Amino acid sequence: MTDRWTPRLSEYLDGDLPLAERDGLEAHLRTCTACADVLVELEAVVRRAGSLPDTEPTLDLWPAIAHRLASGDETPVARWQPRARRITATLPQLAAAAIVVSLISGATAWLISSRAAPAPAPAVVVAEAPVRDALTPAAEASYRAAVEDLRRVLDADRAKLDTVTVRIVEHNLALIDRAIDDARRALAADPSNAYVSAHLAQAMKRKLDLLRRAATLAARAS
Amino acid sequence: MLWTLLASAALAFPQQVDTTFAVEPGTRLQVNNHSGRIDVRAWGRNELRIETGGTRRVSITRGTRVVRVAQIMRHGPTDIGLRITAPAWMALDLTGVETAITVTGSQAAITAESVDGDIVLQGGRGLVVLHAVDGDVTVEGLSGRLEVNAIDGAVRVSRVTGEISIEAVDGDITLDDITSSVVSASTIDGDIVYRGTVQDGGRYKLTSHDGDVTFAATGSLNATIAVATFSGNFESEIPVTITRSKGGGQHFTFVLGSGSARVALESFDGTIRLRGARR
Amino acid sequence: MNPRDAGAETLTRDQDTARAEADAVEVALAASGDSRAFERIYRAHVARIHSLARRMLDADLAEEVTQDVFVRAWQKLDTYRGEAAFGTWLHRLAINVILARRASLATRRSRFLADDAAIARARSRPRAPETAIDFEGALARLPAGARQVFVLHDVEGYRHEEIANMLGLATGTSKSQLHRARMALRRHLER
Repeated sequence: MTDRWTPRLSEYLDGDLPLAERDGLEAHLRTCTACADVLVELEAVVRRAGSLPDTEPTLDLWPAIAHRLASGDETPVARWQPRARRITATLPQLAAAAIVVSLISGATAWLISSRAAPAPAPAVVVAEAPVRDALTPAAEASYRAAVEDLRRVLDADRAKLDTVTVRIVEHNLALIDRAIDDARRALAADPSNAYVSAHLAQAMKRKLDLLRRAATLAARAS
Repeated sequence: MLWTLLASAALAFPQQVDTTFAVEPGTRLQVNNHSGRIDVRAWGRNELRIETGGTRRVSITRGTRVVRVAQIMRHGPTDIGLRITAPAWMALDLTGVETAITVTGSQAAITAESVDGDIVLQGGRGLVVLHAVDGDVTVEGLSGRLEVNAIDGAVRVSRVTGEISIEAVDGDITLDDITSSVVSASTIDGDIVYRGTVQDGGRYKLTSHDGDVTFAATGSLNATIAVATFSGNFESEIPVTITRSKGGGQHFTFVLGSGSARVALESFDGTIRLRGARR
Repeated sequence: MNPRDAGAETLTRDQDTARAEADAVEVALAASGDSRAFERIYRAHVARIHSLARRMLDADLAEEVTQDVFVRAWQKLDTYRGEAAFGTWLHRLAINVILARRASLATRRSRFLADDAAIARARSRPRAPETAIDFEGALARLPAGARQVFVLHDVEGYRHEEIANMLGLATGTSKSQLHRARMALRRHLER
């Protein structure tokens, strides 16, 4: 059963009814049990709507999404460079992360392309082009800024982490630092060594990955 | 997000939990146990059984297509041993902090993450993603795509069919009885061993900074193999002819058979070994 | 408040705060081209985006549209400036993708039942438990206009002015659609 007030009940419930009409409706509700009942039901609908659970898709959609990302024109490796400059001002770690990703673009592309389609059998073996000017002073500076940024994020929350976890993280960061130092020394001795250059970049990225992981864990800890 | 507030049914228990209820195919299980254990076994029924020894500090929330089990932490975390028996088809998301996680017999997608504790998985199908900080990761009998990120601990993977991607920092990586066309395994301080098939057109990459890398193909080996080291060694049981050399002379590539698969073996400071066909 | 709910709520708040902080790091890496970071973002947000798509469109389109949302997010990550929480940004982007899909479906939809018939169908009181449809089922049976306004207002928390702007409606129309939806759904509250 509805009357002229029924269509206004939702507005009333949401606090959207003008004052004069609100008074009129409240007076009506005191005498009309039908409208009062509907109002209670509408309140319950709103409560129910606000508490609907989010559910994941039955299928894991990521493989299909990853395939679309890898097969599209805008692969991450292809687009990292222009973006890096634009974001530098607000999030320095973006730029550095991009630089490190670029250093290991061979490895990244390997993973991505491996999911897209297998490469045809090579008739002639051609080694990947060496990454030469990998560590320009600008790249180095951006990388350091990224490490410092992630360090700050981690340090802000590190007290939330168990002391054993902190020790483990620091131990492993030290291991990676040692690998980075080894690679730097090797590169100084043999600047044209493409493998060492890529290896250094890989180790630098691993350091960023570990810092990110630790920062995420610390942020998540209650 | 709204989800936890929205439990369509939430149950509390007086002393401990031992409850079994029906779940519809397609329902996921999400478990968050801050400390203790999460042990999941699969069974053939469309029912979920949840047991906790001697505690009621667990909330069970049943949504439309998800069941969530979480340690209630109002008074701080405590050790809880969660034993769960789930339908084999049920996708699992398991997280903990000081938590050991085991999954046995599942035939579904799985994610598991623990900061301090081992993760042991037997079975699994589809995407399996495992993260450990301080603990070993063991995977056996998976058919699907495996991704492991371990920081301080060994990773052991055996009898797995499907794509494999493993990153470790301080720990060995052992891959045994693998059937895969895409394998990537990388560690900073640890050995890597691969024993498995090398499929035509497949891609295999093993990299360590300070550890030995051993690659043993089972069956035929038609691969273009790139070997790189700075101060390590290369040993091969298979006679190889180096067709190209570059860098400091310790980065070279050679072809076996048709050269169809691509294999990259790298160790900055360790020994790289290429083993002959076995079995 | 029931103690078990209190516990659940505590956990939820912790997770939400942590989520925002973790997102900032993941987004930074993803924007730099780290597809694994983007996968983690996907896993953290897929349930919310998929649920939105499922409620706004037909269930059989939800998975496809959810994919579209994440592909679009990947393409547009560089436009995220951090002014709002990442989840909020992604949610708005999802609504844009969903509404664009809805527009492309509009022609097809006109061949379906008229809105009033659909309202009557959604409103009909369930006769027996075995034939009862649940709240989400009833929501899915609402006509598209009322359903979208209801989802955006009562589920997602947008204001009528924002909804009117998104859907190209008068504010009054948004209000009346919301009321229609609520009236139809009140019969389907789980007891």
